[in-house]
Amino acid sequence: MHEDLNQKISQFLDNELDQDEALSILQKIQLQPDLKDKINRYEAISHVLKTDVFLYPSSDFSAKINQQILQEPYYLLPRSHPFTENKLFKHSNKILVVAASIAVVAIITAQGVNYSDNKIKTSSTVQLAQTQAIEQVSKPSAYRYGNEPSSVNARINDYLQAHNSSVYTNGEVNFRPFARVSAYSQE
Amino acid sequence: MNSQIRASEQLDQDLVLRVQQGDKSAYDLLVIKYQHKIIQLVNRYIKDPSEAQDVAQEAFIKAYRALGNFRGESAFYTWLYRIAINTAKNYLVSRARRNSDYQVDIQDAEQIENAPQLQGMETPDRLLSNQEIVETIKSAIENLPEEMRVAIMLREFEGLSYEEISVAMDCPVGTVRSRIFRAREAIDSKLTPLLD
Amino acid sequence: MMVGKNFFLVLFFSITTVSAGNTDLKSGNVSEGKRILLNMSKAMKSLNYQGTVVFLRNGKLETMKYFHAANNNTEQERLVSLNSPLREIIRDANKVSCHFKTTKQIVVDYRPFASSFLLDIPKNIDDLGGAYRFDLVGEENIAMQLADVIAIQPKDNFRYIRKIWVEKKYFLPLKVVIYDFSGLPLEQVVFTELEVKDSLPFVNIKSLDKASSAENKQSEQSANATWLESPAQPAFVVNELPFGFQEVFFTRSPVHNSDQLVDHMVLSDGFSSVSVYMENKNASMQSGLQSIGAVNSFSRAIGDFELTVMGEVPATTVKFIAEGIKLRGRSN
Repeated sequence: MHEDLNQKISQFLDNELDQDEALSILQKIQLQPDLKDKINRYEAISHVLKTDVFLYPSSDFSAKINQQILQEPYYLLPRSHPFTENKLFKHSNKILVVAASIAVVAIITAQGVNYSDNKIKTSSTVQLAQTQAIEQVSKPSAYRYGNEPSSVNARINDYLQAHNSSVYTNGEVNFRPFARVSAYSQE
Repeated sequence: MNSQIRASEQLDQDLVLRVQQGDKSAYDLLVIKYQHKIIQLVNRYIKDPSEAQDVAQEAFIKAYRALGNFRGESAFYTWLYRIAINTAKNYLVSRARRNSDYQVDIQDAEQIENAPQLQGMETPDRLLSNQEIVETIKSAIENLPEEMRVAIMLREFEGLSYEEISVAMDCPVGTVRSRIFRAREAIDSKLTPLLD
Repeated sequence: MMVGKNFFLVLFFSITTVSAGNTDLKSGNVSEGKRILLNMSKAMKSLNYQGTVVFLRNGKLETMKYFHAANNNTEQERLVSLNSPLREIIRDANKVSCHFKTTKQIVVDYRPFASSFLLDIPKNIDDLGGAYRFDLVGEENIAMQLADVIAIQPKDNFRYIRKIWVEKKYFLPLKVVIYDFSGLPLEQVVFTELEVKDSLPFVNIKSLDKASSAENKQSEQSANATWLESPAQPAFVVNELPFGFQEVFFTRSPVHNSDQLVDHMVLSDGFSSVSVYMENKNASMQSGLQSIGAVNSFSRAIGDFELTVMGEVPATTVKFIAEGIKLRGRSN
């Protein structure tokens, strides 16, 4: 069994595994210290063959990096592959679909709250939600003057998120907060 | 060879995407995949294995912090290498300033790597140990059966794919795979006792 | 004849008195409206209060728990979502931290300037007299609390109408609505319950502090940083602005998921804010007007760049501002 894994490691170093196999062996290496040692030794051997220099990372090399990374913020960027523009359109379409269906959701939510919880007085909320819902049905939440309605494009969505903090108060899961990529310096 | 590189780059892209979606463990996989290459790269500048490891770790952490800006126009490893080189150069400059025998700036970093007085000096014991390890590995290769030695040399020195080696050696790809693996295992068996 | 003359004199003076009284009433309402808003602004910053608030923005309804802690001129706002994705958002001055409870992920965002989750009232309300009227227009109950209704009426068509319901006892806002010109609500913030407390805790999540220090370090040391120190001036000049709008902030930094730098200027009249973005032209750029709830945007090409003006103002306003923008140093 171990010999099979060791052979996979050998192939992995030579880029002779397909993507799934490569991911699989990497994940196994991540979990098994002896496999980590094995790949380190194979790499060291390869380097000696080429340079006559022996370099061997400490056993806690990746663990130290991992420790530091745990202190770092997480990334929550939009679900778009850097090479796949189509996924940006999917993101935009998702916004339009959510917006188009909000009328029903608003009414159901408001009425549910009104009847189920006596403590929350939402008569004004129901009224405004219903009014807004009716308004939303007749006028899409995103449209272009003089042209056919179009989805909010990704660029405008990015601008909106930089413009105000409404992104935090809407329930859209895939917003892209400007943490870490924007450090405003005020004048 | 191109298809192998594409598969490797595709894996990198997917792992980067996972990190950008909040999966930090995916970054650990990238570290495992590239730790040796980055240490080797940094060591070309730093010349001290211990310091090179520290600088390599710093490079990986910087890369994580900059990952939000990685847009995939270059391959991930190219982008990572650039960060590692910059980190190594910055380290050399700051180390030179600490020694402060002469003024340096970032443009001088290329000369610094050749300046003997700034190269990391190994301890005699460590030098001896490393030399012994290098000799052991070289000796192990010399003692390999010829077909295994040829296979691994074509792979390591010429960078040929298994497919290309199978053509050169007129044998099936599976045989090439097996010969290279057994060569590594034979050398490893000589190396492991020295590391314990 | 004398009786008739006296009658008309009395009638004249009566009408004059009534008219004067009405004027006094109107100006009294205006000054009362301003007074209430100023009291509200102070109360929002200095009191400890909590409640349940509903946001209706961009066509989305979101209910959240709201907390405002204040102590020694320091304040903190906190929102806790009641719906998925479960998250807690904390604002300390201009730093906004969003903590996702299910995934334990934390995101830290430094906004251009400190801005309340609820609404902002400018300090210089008197200076805005040329742009807005502040009228006390009635009383209503919101969340079972009696409130004065203040209408913030623009004096031109460059901004939307706002109404704020200010609770009478502590001067806290209970409801804020932005209306379009036909009187339909575009955005709303409504409290369904609100109470004032003697004190509320300031939330201090340790991991947020570490993330903050790591982020500051990263912004200083990143080997791959491509954004620059904010330049002294943007690459464009805004020539046409509605009365009362002025520049409050400018930066040049990445906005999209790329290294491309974008000039971002924020203009505000105290109530409405408008962002101007300029970046290198892109094949996917869409010109013209777009609307997202109360937010309108207008995009156009200008030289080799694309320009977008966006804000919670009518479409005519973003178009007006955008068409008056020129590249700096050129006569285009």
